[in-house]
Amino acid sequence: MNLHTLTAAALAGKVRDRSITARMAVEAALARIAAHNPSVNAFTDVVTVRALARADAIDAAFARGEDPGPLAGVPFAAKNLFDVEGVVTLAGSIIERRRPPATSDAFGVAGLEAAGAICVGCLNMDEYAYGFTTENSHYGPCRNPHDLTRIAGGSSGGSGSAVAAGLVPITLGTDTNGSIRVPASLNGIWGIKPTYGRLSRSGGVMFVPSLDHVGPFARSVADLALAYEAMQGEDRSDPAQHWRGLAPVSLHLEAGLVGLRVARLGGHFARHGVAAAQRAADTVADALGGREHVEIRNAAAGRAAAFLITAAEGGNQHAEDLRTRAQDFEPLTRDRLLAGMLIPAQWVVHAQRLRSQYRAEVAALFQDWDILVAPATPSAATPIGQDILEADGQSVPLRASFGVYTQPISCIGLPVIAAPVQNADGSLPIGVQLIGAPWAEEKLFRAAAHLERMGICTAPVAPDFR
Amino acid sequence: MAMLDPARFDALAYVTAACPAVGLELSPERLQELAAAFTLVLRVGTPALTFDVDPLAEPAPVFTP
Repeated sequence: MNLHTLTAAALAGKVRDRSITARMAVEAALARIAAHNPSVNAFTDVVTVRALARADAIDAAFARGEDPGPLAGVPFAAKNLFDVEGVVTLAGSIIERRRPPATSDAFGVAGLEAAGAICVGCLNMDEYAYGFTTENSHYGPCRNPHDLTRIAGGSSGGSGSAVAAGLVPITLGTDTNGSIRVPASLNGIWGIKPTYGRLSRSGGVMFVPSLDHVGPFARSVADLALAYEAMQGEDRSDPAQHWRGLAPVSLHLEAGLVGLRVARLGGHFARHGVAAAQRAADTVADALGGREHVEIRNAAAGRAAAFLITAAEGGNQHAEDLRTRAQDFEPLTRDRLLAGMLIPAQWVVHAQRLRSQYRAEVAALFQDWDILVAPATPSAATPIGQDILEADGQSVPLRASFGVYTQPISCIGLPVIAAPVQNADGSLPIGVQLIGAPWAEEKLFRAAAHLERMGICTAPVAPDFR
Repeated sequence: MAMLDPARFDALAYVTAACPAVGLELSPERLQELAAAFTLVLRVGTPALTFDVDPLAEPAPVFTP
């Protein structure tokens, strides 16, 4: 039985009807990881003993007539900045390797396990989440299952690659400037960056408190919804969380587009990228009836504000290690963090004020529109090691440019689903952002489910891994 | 009035002066490399730094979207 191509919901259905056990589901995932992870380098830790014990507990619960939850027996994995009890939380660094193992699970990991899912390991990422490529020199580059010579995106590169390669059906990632949406785009899978403050970030090594979000990846909209729901819950230990009660979305997936007002973003979002990225966004906008183009004024300034806040808060977060053991940082990260330590306070406060003003300007757009459509990345996955991106008639530094469309959105905390368009550039996928008003994730899920039903956006396991 | 003129900003002089304020001791070669990194920060950050912000805009970093 080919379990690796099943969705999480289908796999949970088989565990629930006892056609397979949770142990069989986990053993199949572990075998799949052992066979295929050497190709993609998505996992940095596999927690075999813990996962099998958890699987046995799920099977025992079913035997007692209990319901372990909607994701019963579904293997998942988390970016290695999330705490997983018993594992050292690496955050892509060798500096963190000296710390003791985590003594409890991160809030999001615990949420998935409370819904019956089973954590099988931890995933490769850019060091301290500061990057868009997961070319991690400590743990090796993560590779894209659609073309192993190309990047998986970042910073949640392992999270994107593991799902696209069919190693697990669900992963967790974080998104400060695009780190869920970029790997979702380059690996051709679904990802959601919820509204800032929706999901607790507690338990792990986060990056930029002003901008950090957590969220899941999956190969179907229904799976994405189940994971997103499982990660919800009040947590007063995250001071940025704005708890508004549970916000279920699964029950809205069949609601269709009635009443949704969709527009395509132009201006900044129609420049800077290759033609294939723009075509992907046009295709999705057309399928959603989004024929009118609108602009977000000052998107470039908003993106720049996010960049300054990121560098300053990131530099501050790691200041002590930068002073005392800078040589242990990833070369691609170190000087950006050091530069961040030196950013004048005037620049940072100015950037925060700009963000506030820009947020109010964008909020006005949602009086007329429910969903704004834009590319997620300026191109499809590029070759590992490439430094320059050629797009829109310009040569720009590649690693700083993959957030050109994502940073202006996460800067102000708007919820986004990254929707995958397969074969958007030759055989490579490119993702498209469905951007909503704050707290309006349910509308994004409705649109995503519609796109999936139409066959415009699907996320099968990458061809060479089926 | 804009906060700074990026074309007239001397990144090497700035990082050399600012490093001691945050406890960084770097060789002249490393200061050169850091100046290059700071120049990239300035380049990408310029659209924000040259943006006229309403002085009454709220600067609190934690917000309800």
